Amino acid sequence: MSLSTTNFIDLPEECLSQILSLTTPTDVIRSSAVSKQFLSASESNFAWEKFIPLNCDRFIEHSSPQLVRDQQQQIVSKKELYFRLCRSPILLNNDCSKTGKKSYMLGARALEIAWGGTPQHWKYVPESRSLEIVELYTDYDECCLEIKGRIHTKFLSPDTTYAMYFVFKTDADDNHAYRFEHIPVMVSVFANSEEGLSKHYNHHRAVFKKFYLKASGRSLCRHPDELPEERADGWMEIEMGIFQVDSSVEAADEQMVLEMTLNEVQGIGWKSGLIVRGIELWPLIHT
Amino acid sequence: MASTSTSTLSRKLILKSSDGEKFEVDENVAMQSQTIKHMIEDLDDINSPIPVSIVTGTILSKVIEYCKKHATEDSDSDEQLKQWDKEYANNMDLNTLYYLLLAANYMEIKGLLELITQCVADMIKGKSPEEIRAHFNIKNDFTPQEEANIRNENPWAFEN
Repeated sequence: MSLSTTNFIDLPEECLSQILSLTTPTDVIRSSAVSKQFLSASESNFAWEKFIPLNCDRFIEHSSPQLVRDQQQQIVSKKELYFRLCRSPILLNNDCSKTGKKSYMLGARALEIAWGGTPQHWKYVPESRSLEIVELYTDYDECCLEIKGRIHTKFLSPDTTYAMYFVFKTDADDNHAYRFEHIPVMVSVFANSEEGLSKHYNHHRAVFKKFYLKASGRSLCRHPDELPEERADGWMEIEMGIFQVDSSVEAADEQMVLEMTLNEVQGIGWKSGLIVRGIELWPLIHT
Repeated sequence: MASTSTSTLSRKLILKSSDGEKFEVDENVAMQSQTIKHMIEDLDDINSPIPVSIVTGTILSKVIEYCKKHATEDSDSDEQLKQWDKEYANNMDLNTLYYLLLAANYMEIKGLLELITQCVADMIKGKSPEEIRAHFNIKNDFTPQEEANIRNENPWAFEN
């Protein structure tokens, strides 16, 4: 038998779907352009199921039904669900028994990133735990770093104080990541309604804080408050701010959005090697 | 996994390939195939050859090699068995892998199916559509317009 007699097109579709499920989301999308047989396998639920955190659909169905169903109230395909999860806030902890409060993560795809649509600057990479991360990997000197996350306050637990964290890494192998030692960024959190800054929350002044994304190796000693903290899972985090959900205000304004922004202060400067996982919102529990 | 209890002490079964080749194997080796397991349950005469209709002798011998290795449980550690699996799969050409995959799917041998699918998945990883076609000798049956549409849906996946 010569190699030319092999024809993977003749594989039963379930075999091909199973093979694709063992690759990565990017590979599945790429393989959809190979042939009609691959396209069909790449759309199957079986191929995508493994990329979605275990048992999460039933949980999401309960917490955010709009993610799981389409306009006709039909359950969406696993592929569609994967992409919706990448672009939406994800409830982080299923374990509500202790606190009864919701935690969220806005994954890389759910963030608005300046120049995020240009692959010369930002590259989206699948990462199992958070579905996808985004890497700033080439020169980014034309414009300022600007990363924004938005979430409707109605999704948050009522009468709860939340802290928001920007979760990221700097690439140790990137020769230019050291630049982040010298580039201050501002983080801010404020509530926005359709017309702009929310009137209901006007007693909350928008808080801006200055940070450096990377601790300096030597001489330049930054104040500890201006530096990120390393977490147990290896990612770095910056506390962007604190926000108190007031249920009476929330009821008055359904459209209120909490906006969390990271901005470069001075802008213009060559930089690369920033890996963004997302923005997390955690309830602060007073014990 | 196979049982080592003495009560099932090696009954022999005969498997017959699609091209008529016969293989005598221990029952615990053959029973790793769910398909054969079900066939035996319905079988009146255990001594008559069991047809494995879509699998050729060449491929069936390779399937049996895998099942034999995985039937003798105590001699190897998990680590050694993994290493053996890896070498087993690496020694197959693409053609053989393809027919092994069909055989493992038809015979319902879970471990072998997982091994081969993972092996093929690793070949797909990181490749562009063109490279996948070339590697597996797959004909592009899209019109240029159809292919462009698919690529435009998720352009980020096709960069580099």
